[in-house]
Amino acid sequence: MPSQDNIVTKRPSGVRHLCLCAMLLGVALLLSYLEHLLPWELLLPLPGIRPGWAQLAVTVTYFFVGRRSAALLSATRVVIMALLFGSAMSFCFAACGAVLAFVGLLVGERLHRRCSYLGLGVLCATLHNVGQALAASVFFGATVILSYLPVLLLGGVLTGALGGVLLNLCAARLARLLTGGAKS
Amino acid sequence: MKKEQMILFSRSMRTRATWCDALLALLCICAAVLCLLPQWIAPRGASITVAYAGARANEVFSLSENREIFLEHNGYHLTLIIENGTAFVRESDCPDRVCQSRGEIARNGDTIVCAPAGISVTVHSEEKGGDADAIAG
Repeated sequence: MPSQDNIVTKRPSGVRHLCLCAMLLGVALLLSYLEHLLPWELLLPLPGIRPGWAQLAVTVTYFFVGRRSAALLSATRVVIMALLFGSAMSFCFAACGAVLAFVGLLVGERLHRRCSYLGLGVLCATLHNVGQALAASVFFGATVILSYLPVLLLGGVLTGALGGVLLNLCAARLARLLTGGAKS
Repeated sequence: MKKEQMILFSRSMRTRATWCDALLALLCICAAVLCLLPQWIAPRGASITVAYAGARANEVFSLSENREIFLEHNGYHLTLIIENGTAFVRESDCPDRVCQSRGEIARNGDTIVCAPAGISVTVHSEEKGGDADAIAG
């Protein structure tokens, strides 16, 4: 059984599940779009670092709706964002990042007794950035990884921790809101 | 009944920060520092290679001569500056401007990547083919 700090939620089903998925996809797309609009290069001194707000929606879906729904939401978001604002190359970057971030969720779930959303956020964000560095190395050569990885890892720790703290604070409320009942 | 309940209830993370969170963050920071070490000890480069994603040939420029280079690929335009042995992107019309925020590169192996334009600029320790008109292939 989960410990006192963990939130126990009942997974939604049927129409409620469908509506939740659609709503969370909308939230993920909106957050991605907002990220796309804001001039992060002026706000954060690290090149290529974004806060990864859409990953928060994927994480919420993963834990409060279901694994498959989260995978589908993540894939759909990447495809839609690439079609609306990206190119073939940006799709590859985003897809590699999203796949590794999802692996982070799978690994993080195994650590649910020891880790909070903070650790999970750090893990997912750094893996997402590693995925993007790997994609860059395919297009531009292996030296790119070593050149960009330190910055991407530090950026992942920073943005992942911020997102994780936010989820730690909101998880109980989100669980109540999304699943219609939870005890913490 | 118990089995059914286990399926209905999803496993959630803890909602209070733990030592394991700190350990994960520390591991990532250590990995970043380890990746930074080769960059810190790398010697200053002598030339840069401008590589284009796709079939277009690479171009090599010496870092010893100050100059302004206009790059164009995939419909995007970059202004690359070579100044006092360093190279940086001064202007770019790509959507994310990651290349611009990368700053100056001077050490062997340092790279500037512009993903939307499909352009990468890498520093090399040796003159790989001389000056601006040299094509490394």
